[in-house]
Amino acid sequence: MAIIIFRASDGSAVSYIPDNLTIAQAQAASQLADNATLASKGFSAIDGQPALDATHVWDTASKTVLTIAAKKSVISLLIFWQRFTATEREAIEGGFLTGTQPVKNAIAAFKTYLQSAGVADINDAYIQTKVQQMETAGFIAAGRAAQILV
Amino acid sequence: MPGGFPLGLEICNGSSSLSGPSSKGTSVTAAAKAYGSWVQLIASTASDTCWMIVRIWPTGNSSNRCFTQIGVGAAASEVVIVNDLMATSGTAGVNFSEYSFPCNIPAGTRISARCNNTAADANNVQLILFDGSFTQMEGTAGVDSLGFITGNPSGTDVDPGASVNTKGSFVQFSASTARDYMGLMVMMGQNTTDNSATLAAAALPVLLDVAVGAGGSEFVIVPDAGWSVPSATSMASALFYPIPIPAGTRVSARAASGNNTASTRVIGATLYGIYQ
Repeated sequence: MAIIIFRASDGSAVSYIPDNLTIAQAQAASQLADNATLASKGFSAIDGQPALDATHVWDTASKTVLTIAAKKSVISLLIFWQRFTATEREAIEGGFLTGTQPVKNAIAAFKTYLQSAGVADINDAYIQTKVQQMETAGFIAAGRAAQILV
Repeated sequence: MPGGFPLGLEICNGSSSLSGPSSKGTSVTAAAKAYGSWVQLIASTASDTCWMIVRIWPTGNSSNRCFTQIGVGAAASEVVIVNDLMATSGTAGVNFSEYSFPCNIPAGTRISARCNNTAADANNVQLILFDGSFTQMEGTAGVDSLGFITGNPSGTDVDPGASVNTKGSFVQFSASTARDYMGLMVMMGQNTTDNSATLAAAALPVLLDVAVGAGGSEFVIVPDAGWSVPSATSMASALFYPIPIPAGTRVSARAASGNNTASTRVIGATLYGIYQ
């Protein structure tokens, strides 16, 4: 468990002690300022919180650590396209070249979007939607979108 | 203060471990998420060393976090003197990270390196060594890392927070420093879950404050240490700050960034304490 020091006025985090200590223990070890010092600065502290990491974030409203869903990856464009097999990439390219106009538009826009971003943020709802649509359209097999969108 | 007591820096007799201008150093094979085998960089130093520059070129892809230890001693008896130097791989084999700091090693010493990367590939490691001249200060024995996480491997995540260009909350790097440090270095790079491609998209630079003191009473000793994202030709350099930190000190850091996107703003940092 961890200790978070935060501004009492708006709940914004000020400092973080990742060690499994109570407030009293941390103060005794001089890792945490005493209550008078905290109060003089308008700070408060809360212990017994989960350690901050990819699935645990400080919430200013509740002034506690909340559990969130793990973020998906953010990867280079090369690594993103390497998640598709060669056959899948060629099928997508075929759709861009010979598909219906809406299909051509969708694939072209998707590629332009990725290129502009410079990286593939798998947390991006647009990227998730388009890869799912590739599966629906048959460019990638059933179940492949879930494997790619990690 | 201006005109104060002499710092005691005067170095000479620079030598490099490079075999030639086109070399990037000695290839050191890294194990995945654990330190690999030691690789000799210098069989026997020609003169005493008082200052060391370590340059690390990761050769793996941009998703790797790379850490290097420097050791002295005979093969199979190496002793680590410099811990966990972090290197960020932007474009494989192009970007390098560089450290420059006082370090005392007697002439005739064998120096080697070993690496710990996210994936099992290799880093090229180069040493540039300098002897000390008449007014060079008293010796230093080694470098500790603060905030290094062995099993990842990674530095410690520092979240700049949701407000652009506003310092976030302090993150503890050491609850209580194990030794007196006569100075420190700061290196920033990939965080524990993302990779440098993330950071490349995020239009950083990042500013990092290093502080000492209890939680809620942090006092900034190094303001605005800067880092810019690794691009095709960038490098990262860890400046040496001769700021003493006594043993038993809590050390923390906070960051500000021009990027506030939750999935791409968090950076990883490792601090280094130089001890005598």
